[in-house]
Amino acid sequence: MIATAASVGIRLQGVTKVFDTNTVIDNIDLTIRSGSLTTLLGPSGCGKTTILRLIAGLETATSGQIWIGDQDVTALSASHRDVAMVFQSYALFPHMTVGENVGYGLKVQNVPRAERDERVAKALADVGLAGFGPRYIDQMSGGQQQRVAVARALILQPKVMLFDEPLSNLDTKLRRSMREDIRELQQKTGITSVYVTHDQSEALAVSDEVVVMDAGRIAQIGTPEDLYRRPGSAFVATFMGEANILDATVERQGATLVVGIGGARLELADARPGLPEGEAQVAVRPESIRLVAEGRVQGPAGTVKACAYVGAATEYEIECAGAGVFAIVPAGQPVFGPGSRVTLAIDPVGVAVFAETGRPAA
Amino acid sequence: MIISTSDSARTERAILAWSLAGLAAFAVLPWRALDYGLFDALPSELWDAVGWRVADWLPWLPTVVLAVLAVRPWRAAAPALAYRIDAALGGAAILALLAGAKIWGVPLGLAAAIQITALGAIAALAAARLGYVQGDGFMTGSILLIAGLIAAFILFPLSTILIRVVVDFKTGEFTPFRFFEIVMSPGFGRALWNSLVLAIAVAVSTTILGLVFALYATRATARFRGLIRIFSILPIITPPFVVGLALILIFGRSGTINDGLLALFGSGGLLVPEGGSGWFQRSGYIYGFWGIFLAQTLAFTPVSYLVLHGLFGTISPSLEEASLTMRASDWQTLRHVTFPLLRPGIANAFLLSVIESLADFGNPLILGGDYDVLSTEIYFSIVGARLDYARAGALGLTLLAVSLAIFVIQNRWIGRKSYVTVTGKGGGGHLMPLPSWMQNSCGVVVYAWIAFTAVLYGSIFMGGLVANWGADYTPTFTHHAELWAAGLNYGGWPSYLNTLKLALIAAPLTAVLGILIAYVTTRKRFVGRGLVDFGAMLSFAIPGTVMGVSYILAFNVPPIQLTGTALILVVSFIFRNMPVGIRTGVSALSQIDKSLEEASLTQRAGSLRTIISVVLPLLRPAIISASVYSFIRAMTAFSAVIFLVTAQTNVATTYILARVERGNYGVAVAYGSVLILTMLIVSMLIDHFVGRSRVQRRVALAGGNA
Amino acid sequence: MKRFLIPLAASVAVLASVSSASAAGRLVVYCSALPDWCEKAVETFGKAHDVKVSMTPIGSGSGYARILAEKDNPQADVWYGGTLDPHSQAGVNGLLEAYQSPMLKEIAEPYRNPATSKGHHSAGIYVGILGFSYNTEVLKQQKLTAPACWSDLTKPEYKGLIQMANPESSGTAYTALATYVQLWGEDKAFDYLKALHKNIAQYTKSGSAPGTATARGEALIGFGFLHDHAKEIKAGFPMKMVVPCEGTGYEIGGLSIIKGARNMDNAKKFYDWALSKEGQEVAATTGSFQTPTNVNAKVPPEAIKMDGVKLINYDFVKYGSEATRNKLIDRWIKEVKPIER
Repeated sequence: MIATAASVGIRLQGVTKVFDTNTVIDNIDLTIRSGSLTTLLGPSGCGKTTILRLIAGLETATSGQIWIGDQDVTALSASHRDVAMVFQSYALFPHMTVGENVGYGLKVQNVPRAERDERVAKALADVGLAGFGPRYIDQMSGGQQQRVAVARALILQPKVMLFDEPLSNLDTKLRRSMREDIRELQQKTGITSVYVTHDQSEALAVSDEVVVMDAGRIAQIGTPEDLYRRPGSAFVATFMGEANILDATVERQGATLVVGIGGARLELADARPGLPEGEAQVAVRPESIRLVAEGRVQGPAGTVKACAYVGAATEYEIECAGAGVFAIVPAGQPVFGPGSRVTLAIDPVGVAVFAETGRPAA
Repeated sequence: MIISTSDSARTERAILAWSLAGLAAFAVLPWRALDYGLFDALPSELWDAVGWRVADWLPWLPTVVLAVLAVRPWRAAAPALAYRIDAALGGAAILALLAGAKIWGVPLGLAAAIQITALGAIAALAAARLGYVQGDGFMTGSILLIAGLIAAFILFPLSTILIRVVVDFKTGEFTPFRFFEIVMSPGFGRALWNSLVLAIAVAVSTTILGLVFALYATRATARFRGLIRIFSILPIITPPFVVGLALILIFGRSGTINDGLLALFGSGGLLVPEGGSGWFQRSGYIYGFWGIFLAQTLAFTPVSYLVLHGLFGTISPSLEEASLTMRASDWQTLRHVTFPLLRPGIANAFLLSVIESLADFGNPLILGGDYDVLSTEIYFSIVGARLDYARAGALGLTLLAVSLAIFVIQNRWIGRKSYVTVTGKGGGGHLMPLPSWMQNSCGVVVYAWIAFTAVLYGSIFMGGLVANWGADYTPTFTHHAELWAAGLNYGGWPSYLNTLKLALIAAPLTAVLGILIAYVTTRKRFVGRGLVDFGAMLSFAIPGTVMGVSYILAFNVPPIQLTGTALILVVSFIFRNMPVGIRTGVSALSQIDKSLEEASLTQRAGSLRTIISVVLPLLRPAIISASVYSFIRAMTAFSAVIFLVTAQTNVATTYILARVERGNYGVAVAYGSVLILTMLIVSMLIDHFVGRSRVQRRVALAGGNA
Repeated sequence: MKRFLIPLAASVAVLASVSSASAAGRLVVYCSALPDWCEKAVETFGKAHDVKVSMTPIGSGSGYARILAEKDNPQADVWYGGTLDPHSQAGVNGLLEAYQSPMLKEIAEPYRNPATSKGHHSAGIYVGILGFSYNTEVLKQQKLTAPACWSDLTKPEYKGLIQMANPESSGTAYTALATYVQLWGEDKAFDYLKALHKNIAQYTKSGSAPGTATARGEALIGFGFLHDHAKEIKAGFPMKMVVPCEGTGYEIGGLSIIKGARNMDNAKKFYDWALSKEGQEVAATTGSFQTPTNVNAKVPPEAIKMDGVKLINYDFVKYGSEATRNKLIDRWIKEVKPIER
C-alpha cells in the first residue's frame, strides 16, 4: 500500500450541530493529530457519529468551523473533501460487482480503465481478496464485505479515513482479527483516521488516542491507558471498563494522594494537581478488589449478596455501606458464599480520583 | 488551499457557463411566448419573438444581469461576499423579471425560461458555496427547481382562485364578503352536504368490500385469487366515467334492465294480460345518488382493497398463533387480534376513499342527474349559463379545504400508526384460515362483485359493437369504423394519438419529478423544506376540478401564459400525478440504505453523479412503475383537463364525454373499450419486459443485510 | 462566391414563399356551433380566402368566459355561433369590436343588430326555435296523447317522462324560462315551472341532452332548440317536433369580432363571409338545421317552416342582461328546484 505524501490533521473549532431543536454536538473543540488513529468512543446518542459525519461533509455544522490540514472545509461538500469512509453497513453498491465497487471512485475521477483495473486488483490483494473482483456483493460473506469496504476507501488515497463502527456487524472472533488488520493498514499508510465505536475494548485495542464523548460534549481525551488509569470523571471511569464509584476521603501528602475508603488508607501515585481533596467520589476497578474474611484487615466491610463462577474468576456482588460493590476475584482465592461477611482489600493501582464528579455511564 | 481554489474555480466556471447559456438564448431563441405556440409558429413570428427584437426593455433586464454575472466584477472580493452577491443578484433578477412580466403583461417564452433557469442555477451554485445543503450545488439547484415548480404550478394557481373570490373579476372591486355570500347561497350548502354524504357512503361500502376482498384473497383457500387481482386492476386502467357509462347501458332509462322489465311487465309485456296497461314504466333511478354511489364503489373498491391487502401481509402470523394457543377460537382471534391490528389500515382505506369520492367529477357529471356535488358545481359555475369565477373559486376552496383536512388526518394520525405496522417484520408461521362461514359469505360477495364487474365491462365492449344499445342490438362495426376508419385526421384518431403523445411525454417527467421530490424531502435537510413538503402535500389533496379551474385562471395571462397549448396539459398531468411519483419514490427510497449514497459522495462523486450511478439504478423498478402508473393516469385524466383542452389539444376522455353529451353512447363506449385495451396491453407489456429485475432482487437482498 | 450565392438565393426564395403563403395570415375562431359545422365552416373559409384558420370549439358560456379572461390579451379574433346572450354580455362588457358589415343588407332586419348594446357588436347568423319533441314509439307504448302546447306538459299523465335542462347550467333552459316570463309574466311563469317540475324526470346539465334522450326513448318528451331535434329525426329516430301553440321563444346565433383581435382584417373577412349566402348554407350540409338569417340563403327542408310558427317578441336586450338572468335563475333555484317530486 502506498503511503500518502503528507498526512494532515483535523481540527474542529467551536462546532455545534442542532437537529431541529435537539443539540447533538455542543460547541466542541477537537484536534486530531496527523497520522494518528483516533477513536471517538461513547454510548449511543453521544454525538460521536455526528462528528464523523461532520468531518466527512455528510452533515453541515450549525456553527463553528472544520479544518482538514490547513483548509477550511466547513462549507465544502463531501465529494470535495478528500475523505473516505467505511460505513457501519459497509454501503456497498448492490448493483455493482466487487471490482466495480472498489473502482467506483476511480471511475468517477475518470481514471483510465487499464490503470483502474490495476489499482483495483492491487487494492483487493491488499485486503486479501485477490480474484474476487467479478463477484457480486451478495456473494460475499460479512467479513469479506468489510474488506471490500476498506479497499474501496483506501484506493483513493484520501487525506482522512473515517470508520463508522465498521465491525459492529461481525461476530466476536472476526471482529478481533479485523480490528488488527485495520490497525495494521492504518499504521502502514499513515493516513489520519477517525474511528467511531461504542465498544471500549475495540477502542483501546486500535487507537493512538481516544476521545470519550458524553451527551454532545467531549468527556476526556487521552491515550487508552490514560483513560483507563486516570479517568477524568465518573462517566469515563465507568464507561472505560467497569468501575465501582465509592465515597471516600482524599488527602494530599506530598507527592502522593491518600484515599480513605471505609477505614482502608490507600496511597496513590497519581497526585496531579487539580484533583479534589476532602470528601470525594473515587473509582475502584472490580479486579483490584480482593475479599478477606471480616476483620482480618482494615477496610470497608460488607455482605456478599451473590456470587457467580465464570471460569477464570469469581464475580461478587457485595453490599457495602448501603452501596453495591462489584468485584472480580481471580480463581484460586478463597470463595465466600452469599451472606458471608467480608472486608474488601483494595489494590491502590485500581483506584482513581477524578477532577469532575457527575453521573457514571449507564 | 489548492483544492479550495480549484473548487472556487469550478464554481466560477459553472457560473460563467450558465450566464453564457442565458445570453445565447437571448440572442437566438424566442424570448416572448408565441401567440400560436412554439411549434405552430411561422418563421417570421419566431424571428420577431427573439429577445433583442422584442420592442420592450423587459428582455434586457435578465440579459444585463447575466452579462454582469458572466464578468463578475466582484470576483476579487472575499468569497463569502462574492457568492452572496451572485446568489442575491440571481434571485432578485428572477423575481424582478416575473413581476415585470406580470405588470406589463409580457408572456415569457423559451429564452426567458432558459434565462430564469440560468439565473436560478447561478443562485444555487453560489448558495451551495455558502454551505447550503451540505455545499452541494446540484442538490441546491434541484431544491430551487422543485420549490420554483411547486410555487409556480401549485401554490400560484391556487392563490389565483383565492383572489378571484375576494376580487370581482369583471369590475376589479375588492369583495371580502363574497365568499360568505356564496357559502350562504341556496345551492352551496346542498352541494357540500351531498358531496359529504356521498363520500361517506362510498367510503363505507368500499372499505367493507375492500376488507372482504383482502380477507378472501389472503386467507381463503380459493382458486381464483388471480381473478381478484385482474378485477382489482381493471378500474384503475378505466377512464373515470366509463364505469358510469356502463351503468347507464345496464341500468339507464333504455338500459338492459329497463328493457327486460319492460318486456316482461310493461305495457304489452309478456307477463301482462292482453289489453292491460302494464305496471312498469321506464325509470331513471340510476341518475342521482345511487348511480354515483354505485359507480364510485366500483371504481374505488380496488384502492381500499390494495391498501388493506398490503396491510394483511404485514401482520405477523405469530400474533394470531399466540391467540390460538391461548384457546381463542378462530373467530375470537379475528375479532380481538386481527381486526384491531387492521384498524389503522381500515381508517386509512376509508379516508382515501372519501378523498377520491370528493374529487371524482366524471361519474357525478354523467350520472348525477339532479344530485349536485361540489365537483360538478365547480364545473357548471364556469361553463354553465352564468359565468361566476368567484363561485367556482369558493366551491373549489371549500372542496380543497375538506380534502386537505381529511388528507392531513390520514397522513398525520393514521399514516404514522400504520407505518409502524408496515415496517414490522412478520415472523414465520401461517396465516389463520377464515372460519368457514366467513369464507363462504366473503366468497359470495367477491364472486358477485366479479360477476357484476364482468357484466359491466362486457357491456362496454359489446356496447361498441351493436348498432344502438337499448334499441337495436344488431352487431355492427359502424361505431369503431366511425372512430378509426376515417384516417388519422378524423374520428377518434387525433384525440387518441394526442392523448398517447402527451401521456408519454408527461409520464417519465412525472416519475422523475416525483421521485426527485421524494429524494429531496426524505434524504436532505435544508432551509425551505417546509414549503416543498407543503406543496407536495397540497398536490396529494388537490381535486382535479380545482386544479383545472386554477390553471385556467392562472395561466391565461402573463407571465406564464399556457392556456390553449398542449404544454398546459402536460404540466397538468405532471402536477396532478406527481403524488404517484412521490409515493413510489418514498417507499422505494425507504428500502435503500442512505449510506450507499454517502459512500458515493465520499468517493468524490458529486451528487449528480451519485444519483446517476447509484440512486437511479437502484430506483429503476420504482421509476418504471411510477412512469407506468402516471401514464395510465394521464391517459384517463379527465377532471382537470376538461377545463384545459382545445380543439387542437383534445384528449380521449373529453372526446368520449362530448359523444356522451350528444347521446352517442355506442361511439363513446367503443372508444372507451379501445382505451381500456390500450392500457391493459401497455401495462402487461411493461410487466412482462421489466418484471422484477436482477437489480431489484439484489436490492432486496442488500436490504436484508444492512 | 457563387457557391454561397446559390444556396442563399434558394433559401431566400423558400423564406419568401413561406411568408407569401402566410401573407393572407391567420385567423383564430372560437366556435360555439356544433363541432362538425365549425370544422366545415373554417375549412371552407380558409380555402376560399387562403387564411390559416385555427378553430376552437367552445360552448357559448365558456366562450364568453374565455374571452373575458383573455380581455387583456385576446387569443381569438372571431366568435362564431352560439346563442346570442353571451355575445350580448360580451358586447356590453366592452369585449367586442363594433363592425357594420356590408353584408348586413342581405340579413333580415331583426337580426342585423340584435344584441343588448345596440352598437353593432354582434349580428345574427341563424334563428333557432325553442320547443319540445316527443318520441312517437314511447307515446304509442304508453298509450298517451301527443302534447301540442306548453300547458299540456303539466298533465299528470306525463309524470316522470319529461326532460329539460337545468337553467343553472344550460342557456337553452334559460331561454325557456325567459320565454315563459315573456308569455305570461313572471309569477305565472313560475307557477307553470312549479307545476312542470312535478313531471320532470331529470334536469340535464346540457341543453341538447333532453333531445338525444327523447330520440333514444329515455324520455317521452324533451325540451330544446328544435334544430337539434331535426338532426335526430334526420338520423332516423322516431321523434316529432312540436312548436307550442301558445307561441315560443327563439335563439339567435351570434357572430362577433373580438376587441383587439390580432388579425382584424381577416376577422372582418370571416364576418362578411359568415353573413353571406355561401357562409350560411354551410350549416345544413353538416346536419345543422337552423333557419338562416340571410334572406337569400336556402332554408333546409328539415328546418321548421317559419310560417305558421307563433314567435314571441323576444326581448334580447332585457333577458340577455346579467341582472335579469341572475334574478330569474336565482328565483328558480329557490322556488322550483327544492320542491319534492
